[in-house]
Amino acid sequence: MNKEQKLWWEQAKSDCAVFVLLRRAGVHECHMLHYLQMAAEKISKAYLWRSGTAPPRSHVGLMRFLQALLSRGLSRKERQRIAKIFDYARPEDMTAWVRQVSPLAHELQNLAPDLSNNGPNTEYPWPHENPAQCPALHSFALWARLRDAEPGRRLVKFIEKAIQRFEQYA
Amino acid sequence: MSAATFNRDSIAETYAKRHKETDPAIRAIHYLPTGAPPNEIRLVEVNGAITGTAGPEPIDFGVEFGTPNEHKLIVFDVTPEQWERIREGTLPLPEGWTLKGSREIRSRKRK
Repeated sequence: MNKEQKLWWEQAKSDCAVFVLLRRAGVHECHMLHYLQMAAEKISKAYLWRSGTAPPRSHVGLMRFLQALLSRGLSRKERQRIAKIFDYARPEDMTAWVRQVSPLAHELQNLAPDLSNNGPNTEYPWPHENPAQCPALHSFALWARLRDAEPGRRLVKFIEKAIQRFEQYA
Repeated sequence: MSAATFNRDSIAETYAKRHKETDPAIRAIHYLPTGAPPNEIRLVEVNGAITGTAGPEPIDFGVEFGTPNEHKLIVFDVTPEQWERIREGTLPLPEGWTLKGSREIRSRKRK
């Protein structure tokens, strides 16, 4: 792990710890989603820093991270090792799961205000020019899918695991 | 509204119904109230689509913070094989959980 990765990882751990506190407290959904999105983005960037160059500044983290973890550019042995770290017997099993969960991962990363297309986001009332709704009073369909279905719960656990086990695959 | 009006059994049924509607891979949902704090809902969800080699682990969610219905929802997702092992006593439930007094929440058949 290089020093840049270490810094992004530390921030990811801190964001994730806040997310877990908020998740257990049951505060407004926007806050739980905000911290989950931030934790996911930061662990993604921590991983992408392994090349030694800065990843894009924008919120493109989680999907790119999942794709990078399963990259065909990695050796079979390395992909096997990564799959095992994430509790999959084979890289193909992990790939299948990532494919299944991609819509949720996309939705999560698109909650950031600059990717939300002036619609529902976790921070600011929308639309910007003529606010009609605010995050705190909004019921996010994504949160219901993360909480009420196994694939969603598994994505939450995956993000937490990715942060806890980062040293093993960084 | 007092805490006594919080109807845990009814809310557990609502969750079970919603989860079954959301996730077609669910085979059964078991509600385990024995030994749980009054505002805690414990569900074991048997799911045929779980892949991976990880052992099951519960995940907890706080819900309706600051309202009379404030509660905690804990879901323990397991495969059908893991559920059989739990019933046989060879795979433990989360600490403090018991099958004693548990019941399966079934979908009501439409007339």
